[in-house]
Amino acid sequence: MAKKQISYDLKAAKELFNEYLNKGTEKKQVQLPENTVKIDDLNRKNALDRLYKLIDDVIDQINKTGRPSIQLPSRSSSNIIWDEENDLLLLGQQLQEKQFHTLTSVADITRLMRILEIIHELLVKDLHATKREVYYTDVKLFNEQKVSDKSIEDAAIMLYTTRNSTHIVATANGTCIGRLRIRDKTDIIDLEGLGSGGWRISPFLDNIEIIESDAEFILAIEKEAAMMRFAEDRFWRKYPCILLTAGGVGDIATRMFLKRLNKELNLPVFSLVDSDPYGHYIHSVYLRGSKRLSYESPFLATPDIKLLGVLTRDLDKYKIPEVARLKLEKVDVKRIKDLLNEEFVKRNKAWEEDLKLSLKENVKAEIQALSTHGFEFLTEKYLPEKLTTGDWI
Amino acid sequence: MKFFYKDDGGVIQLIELEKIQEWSIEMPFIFVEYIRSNKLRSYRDAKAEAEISKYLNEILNKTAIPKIKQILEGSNQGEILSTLSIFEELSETNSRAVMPIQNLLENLTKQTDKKIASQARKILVNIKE
Repeated sequence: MAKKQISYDLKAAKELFNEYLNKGTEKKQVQLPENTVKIDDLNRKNALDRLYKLIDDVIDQINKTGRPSIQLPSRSSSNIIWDEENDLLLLGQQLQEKQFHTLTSVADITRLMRILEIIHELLVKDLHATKREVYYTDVKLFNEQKVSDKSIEDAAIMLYTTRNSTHIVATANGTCIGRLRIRDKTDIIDLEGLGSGGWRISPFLDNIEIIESDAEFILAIEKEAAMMRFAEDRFWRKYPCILLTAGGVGDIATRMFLKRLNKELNLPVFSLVDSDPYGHYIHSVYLRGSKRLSYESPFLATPDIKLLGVLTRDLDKYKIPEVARLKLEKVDVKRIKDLLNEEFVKRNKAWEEDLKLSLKENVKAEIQALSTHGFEFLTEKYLPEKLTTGDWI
Repeated sequence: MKFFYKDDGGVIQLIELEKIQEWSIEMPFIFVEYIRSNKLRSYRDAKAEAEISKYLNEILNKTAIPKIKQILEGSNQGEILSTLSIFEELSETNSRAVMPIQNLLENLTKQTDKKIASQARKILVNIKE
């Protein structure tokens, strides 16, 4: 017997898109609170200018006192501020001082100066390097990669800029596919024409420009496996959208690219994650950024992302059988409790309720649990129905 | 982005002119040709197609052609030659993208500078092939 095909018009998602489009023209710049540090995304010339100014200041101090020091915003947890209005994690204005002449900071400052030298070389030559490559430029000095990584982050914050502006990038894990055309220098890349694998998000995002799209929403997917289902069904052909996955927690390039898509195309963004606390955490990182990179939050966070699913309440609504549901483990319970203590969850009642429901019913489930109703259930029923009815958090 | 609305409620977004003005000399031609050949018909909306066509012409007439005209009709021969070599390379793989400057190239074939005239001729051959 032929399967009955229901047609969904994605009414609710389209309404949200129209709302964003109307707002888009009057969108104001995000005003950061006064007690936070302002970070700029700089082009190569401006990044170089800022680097020269910093070095000029050090030379001035050497000439005047012979004992130079550098001040930079502290990245300790006590200096991380949640900006309620913009729903972002930001860096406060506490400063730390690194002196060139004390035994405690001499090694640190040497590494920092070496990183500045590397940044200078990369900017002058208009090259990019990965964090791993930077570590290998001076293994003896850095000893291990986490040491050079810390110095790289310190150098970026010292220049009051994003790490990408320093041309030091992390390897990107994200993939993107769908109704989007981008430019990488003089190459035009059609994200609909790259087979099921899609486009590997480039860590060199300063070379990437969005040039055309007829998408109406973006879906950020937790898992590669779920992404494969969408890719195989060519989901974006029926429902005009852009799909993106980082295969877990969003890395810097994936989050930055998502932010740009959302900002430049005014598209609503939905996340599809496992119905478990880790999935909710992944959503939260897209939403408001991570604590470690709080200074880059305005460039990495997508504060209006919606949690589309899989919600705990969906498990009953979509009749997910008991055998496909899992019990919470100790670590899950702790994570849920931690999330419930976060201000941004407390402020979102529907989210709070869904997490509490998970605790009460001692249940979690993977996105793949939906395939108990058939492989196409996710793409042909679950998502279109939710996007039509506006069933998201 | 610049918006174009379809009758079915769909929206097509294309990069705005201000950003295109910052591109390298050949990029606007590549972009216009790409949208014309690969996207325009796929929108399946006559009104949007017509508006986008108009916008693509605007890109050519307001940015792309004046920028290259200024170089090709200028007196800096080194700059003319390096620009021609960029377009010669482009014409080998994407000759349709170079068509909008056909008239300018034809004028250059009459130039007294043999190098410039010969390079312009090579591009014209690629366009006509």
